[in-house]
Amino acid sequence: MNFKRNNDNINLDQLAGKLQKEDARYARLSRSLQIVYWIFIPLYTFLAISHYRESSEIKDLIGGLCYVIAFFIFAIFFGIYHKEYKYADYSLPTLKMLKNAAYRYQPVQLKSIWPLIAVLFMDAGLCLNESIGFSFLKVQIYFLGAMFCAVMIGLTIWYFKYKPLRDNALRLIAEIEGE
Amino acid sequence: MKKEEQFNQILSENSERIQRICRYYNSNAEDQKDMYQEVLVNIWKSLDNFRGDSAISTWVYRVAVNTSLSFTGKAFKQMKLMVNTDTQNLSSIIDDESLAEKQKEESQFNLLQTELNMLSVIDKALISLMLEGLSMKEIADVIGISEPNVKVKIHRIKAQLKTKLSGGVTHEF
Repeated sequence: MNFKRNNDNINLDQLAGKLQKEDARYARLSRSLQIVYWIFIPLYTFLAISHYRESSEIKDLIGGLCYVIAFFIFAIFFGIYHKEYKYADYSLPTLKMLKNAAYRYQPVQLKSIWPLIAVLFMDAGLCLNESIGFSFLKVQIYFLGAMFCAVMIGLTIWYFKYKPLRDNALRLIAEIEGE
Repeated sequence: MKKEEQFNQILSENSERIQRICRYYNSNAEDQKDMYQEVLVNIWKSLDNFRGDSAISTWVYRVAVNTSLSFTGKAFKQMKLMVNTDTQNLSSIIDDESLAEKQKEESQFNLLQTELNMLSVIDKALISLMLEGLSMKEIADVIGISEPNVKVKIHRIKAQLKTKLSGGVTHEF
C-alpha cells in the first residue's frame, strides 16, 4: 500500500479513509472468490446428476462428484487461507512475528496436503468422465503434466520472491535466539 | 469504539513515540516520513488483533520495531541507527563515568555513532528500545525473549561498545 502525503504532514483522515477502502476492497475480492467456488459446487452437482440420468453410468456420477469434492476442498481451503494470510500481524513479539514469516514463506506446508487431495479428486473425475474421450494414460500425461508445470512455476516464483524473505527471517531468528 | 476512532486515539497518544523510533533508523527526513507512514499502515492492519494484554505503548513499540525490521524502503545492511547527542537515555549505553565525559566530545560521539551503525539489526532494535527508556521486561515483551536474555544481550552490546570506544581495551563491569 502506498499513500501520498500532504506536503510535510500525513493527513490522518485521508490515510484512515484509504485504509478503510483497502479493507473493503480486500473483503470484496475475498468474497467474490468464495462466491465463484460456491456457485461451482451446486452447478457441478446438478451436471453430475443430470449426466448420470442420461447415461445411467455410475462412473459419470462418481466422476462428477469427484469434481464437486475437489471444488468443495478448494472453497474451504482458500477461505481459511485468505483469513489466515489477510494481513501479517505486526503487533506480535518480534521473534513470534519472524517465526510466522518463516513458516508463511516456506515452499511446502503441511496444509498443502488439502489442495493436493483436491487435485487428485479432479484427476479421478477426469479419468472417470468418458465424455472427454481421453484414455487413462492420456489424462495422466496432460493433467498431471499441467500440474507439474504449475508447481514448477510456483517454486520458481517462490525461489526469487519469497526465499530471500524467508532467509532474512531465519537469519534474524537465529540472531535473536543465539547466545 | 470504532476502528477509526481507536486508530486516531492510538496515534494521538503515541505519535511522538513512533516518530522517535523512525528517527533512530533514518537520517533522512523523507525516509523517516515513509517509515512513519508504514508504521501507521501496520498499526491499522494489526489493530483487529489488539486484545489489551500488554500496555498500548508496548504494543506500539512492537509494531514500530517489527516495521523497522521489514521496512521495504531500506535494505538490512543499509539500516542505520541514528542517535543525537541530546537523546535522553544516551548515557545508559556508556555508563562508565570517564567514558561518559569523553562521550560529550564530538569525536567520541562520532565514534559511538559509527559503532552503533555497525551493530546487527537486532542489536540496533534492542539499543533503540533502551534509548527510549524501556525497562528490560518491556524490551523482552517487545522482542519476545526472556528478560534475562535481554539483559545478557544488552550487557554484551555495552561491553562491545565500551571496548571499541576505549580503543580496544576490554573493561569488565
